[in-house]
Amino acid sequence: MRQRCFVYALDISISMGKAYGDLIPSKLNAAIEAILVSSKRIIEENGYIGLVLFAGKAFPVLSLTRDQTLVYSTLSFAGRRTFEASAPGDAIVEATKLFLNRERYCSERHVIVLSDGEYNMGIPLDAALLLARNSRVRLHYIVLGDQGQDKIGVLLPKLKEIYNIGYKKVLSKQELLAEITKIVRGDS
Amino acid sequence: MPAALLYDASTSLSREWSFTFLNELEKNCNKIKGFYLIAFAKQALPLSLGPLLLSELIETISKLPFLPGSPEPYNAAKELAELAGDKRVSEVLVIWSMSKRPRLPFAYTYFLLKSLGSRYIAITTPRAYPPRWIDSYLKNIAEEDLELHMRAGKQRARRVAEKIGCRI
Repeated sequence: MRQRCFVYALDISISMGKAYGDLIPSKLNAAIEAILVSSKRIIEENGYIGLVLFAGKAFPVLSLTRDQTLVYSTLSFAGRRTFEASAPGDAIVEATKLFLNRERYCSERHVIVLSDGEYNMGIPLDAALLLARNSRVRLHYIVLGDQGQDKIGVLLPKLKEIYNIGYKKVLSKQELLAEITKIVRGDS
Repeated sequence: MPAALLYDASTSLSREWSFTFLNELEKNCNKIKGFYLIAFAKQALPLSLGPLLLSELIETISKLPFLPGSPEPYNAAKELAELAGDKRVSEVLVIWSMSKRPRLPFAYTYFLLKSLGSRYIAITTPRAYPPRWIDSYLKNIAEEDLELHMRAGKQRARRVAEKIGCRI
């Protein structure tokens, strides 16, 4: 049976605590809402969910699970505080490590990064992408809002060809939900 | 049983030298052997969740950016221990510039690697002479388990290939 495993890497940096368009009360809350909606679907289809929070460092907070209640309570906790800096490279590494020794029940491995495109410290992104690629992890990078100084938006399209990354900038809640649904359905 | 390569990805190691050495190693390797690959500088970073073939390993390193900070081999060993879990890692090759004395003595790295079941540990470096701090750094280590290859070239690559069991 095809089992799909998804690890969300959620940016909890200070800038994610701000609103953008209809991504309210903050981009972070909009992202949490979208994860909750999609995780219900993943679990119903026998998939697994993991969660890594990141700002200047990355913290795995949910190992791969099917427990919807646990996912809900972890995410409610995740939205409470934001921190300085943003290290998406560290987040990708920690998210990929959650797949370690899970070959048996993760036939498909996905990491979905939800961030506003800040990238100012930590493991170089292209180094982290090597780990994801060599570990057969499909990476989807969703940038919430338009910061103007979107470093990820400059970097990722250049690396896209080599690493098979999905990259999408979303400017509204509807776009965010549509993108995550597309990934979860396997259309992306 | 897989081996492991702990690769110094700091700016202090010449990439050109390391490619010459690794290509020579691959040339001398006529048996399929998997390698865990950990890049290190101040931090360590695994570059795959499982062992890679030498050709995949060389290709990965060719795309690897330089990592910031001075190399700390202990961090790489720690990362390897986490990655290998309960699996044994029979041989470990450390490619390292030895540009600066690390904070922790090599004994920490050595014992950790031995606890993974390693029967052979080799340090290869482009340096011509051992640094001054090397004697105190390598203190308390059983020398027969550890080889230090200075200015490692073709011959050394051949020897390492034999010792890590990828040359019949």
